[in-house]
Amino acid sequence: MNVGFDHELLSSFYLWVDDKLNYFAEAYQPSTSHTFQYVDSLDVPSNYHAYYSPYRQFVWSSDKVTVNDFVTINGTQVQDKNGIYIDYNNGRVLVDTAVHGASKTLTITGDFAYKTVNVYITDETEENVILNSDFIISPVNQTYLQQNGGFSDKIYTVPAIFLTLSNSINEPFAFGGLDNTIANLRAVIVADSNYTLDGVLSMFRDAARTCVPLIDFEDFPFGEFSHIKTHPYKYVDLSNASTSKCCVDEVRASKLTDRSREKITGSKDYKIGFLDFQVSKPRSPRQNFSR
Amino acid sequence: MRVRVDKKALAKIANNQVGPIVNKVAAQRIEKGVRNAHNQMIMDFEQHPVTQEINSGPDGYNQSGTLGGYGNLFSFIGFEEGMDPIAPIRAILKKALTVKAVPANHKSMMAKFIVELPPKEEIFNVAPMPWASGRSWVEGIEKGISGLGQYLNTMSFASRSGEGIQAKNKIRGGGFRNTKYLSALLNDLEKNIRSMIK
Repeated sequence: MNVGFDHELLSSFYLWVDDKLNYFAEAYQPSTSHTFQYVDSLDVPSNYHAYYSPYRQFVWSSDKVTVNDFVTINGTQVQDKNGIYIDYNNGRVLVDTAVHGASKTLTITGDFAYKTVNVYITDETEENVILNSDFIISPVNQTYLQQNGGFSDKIYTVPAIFLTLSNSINEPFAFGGLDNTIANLRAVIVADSNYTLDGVLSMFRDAARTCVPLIDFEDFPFGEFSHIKTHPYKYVDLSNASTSKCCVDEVRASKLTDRSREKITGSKDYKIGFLDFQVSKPRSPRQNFSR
Repeated sequence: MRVRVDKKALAKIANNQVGPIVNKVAAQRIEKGVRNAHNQMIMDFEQHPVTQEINSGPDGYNQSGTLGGYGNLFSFIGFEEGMDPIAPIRAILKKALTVKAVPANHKSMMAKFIVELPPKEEIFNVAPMPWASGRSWVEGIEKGISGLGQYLNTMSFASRSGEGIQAKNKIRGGGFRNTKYLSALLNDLEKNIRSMIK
């Protein structure tokens, strides 16, 4: 299926949110040494082995921090895409067994900065994200994951932002078939402290009446294994090259009340907030249907 | 005999003498038009299926169609029995609309008036989601509401009745259909005012 406007909007919005957190909020831990450990994973091709770092979501945009494009395997430096893929989104290295052998005991190390607020795109509803997901707090629970070999499980590491495209509408805008596409994007923020939650809510509330560069889908910087297609990836270069933008018309920040939070999270002390974005982009949508 | 008329002076005299009379007549007509449109808007608000459904409380049925006929908005949003979420909105809408006359210019006989409509933001502020401060259920009717309120309501009921409840897989997600509500009523109000004072 061909790429539609909504695909581009959501992926562009994801990159924009990620950049805001990395560059402006500096929501990351500086580069530290990681030792990757082998874990059986279902979501990797059969000819690859997955080695996990104790942390999820490495910083991948090199605007402020050094983003390494290599790891060390048994003492030898190996570049990304040279028989390995560095999966920045899941904090792991995928090793091609045809290149590096089928051993599950490789010693893989690397230096990476990791995000302290992760970003996920989800097609789940808000209530499903909050009620039906398993969260672990980074970095407090990493040892728990390590002990239980749960790296490959579908567990979200929080603090995190979950982005979803809620709904959209095209409203007539000008003669000649120009419509204004108004889309409502929602973000659920699950944090481990009020400080982090307030920081995220405050920063994105202040982003109202700014522009989000729309990145062509083919220019999306990440490949199928969440690896960087071309190193180094700099969001500022990508966004400056974009000729199309959408406008953030309105942002509404809100928090789950304490009473409700206690009912939902029980003994776990997660802080939950919401950001409701309304973005708009004048377009000529019916041009797509001309033959 | 040739008479020379000072047109500017004549217009000034005419405007000064006729202007107040015209303004008074125009003001009366506008005030009447605004009053009628305002009454119509209040009636439309009271008769709107969303208003009526929420007014029906936890025992109402889904006459607005927003939940596909299942349940009702009052419980879905998460209001507790005895709450009256419509009252604060009604109070704002019922406030008489202010009609202000812009001081007339003696060079022109054009009368200008400003009609202040109920501010949408003020309405959103008095209609918060029961479970999230800062979010408005009125806005949610138009943009979408999650099923969290319903879940929390079920939890409250279960804890009051002493029943246990599993935290997971209890919500039928994605079941809400957005519908035009207050924005449409306020747009209609503006249109009606314009048509009634023509």
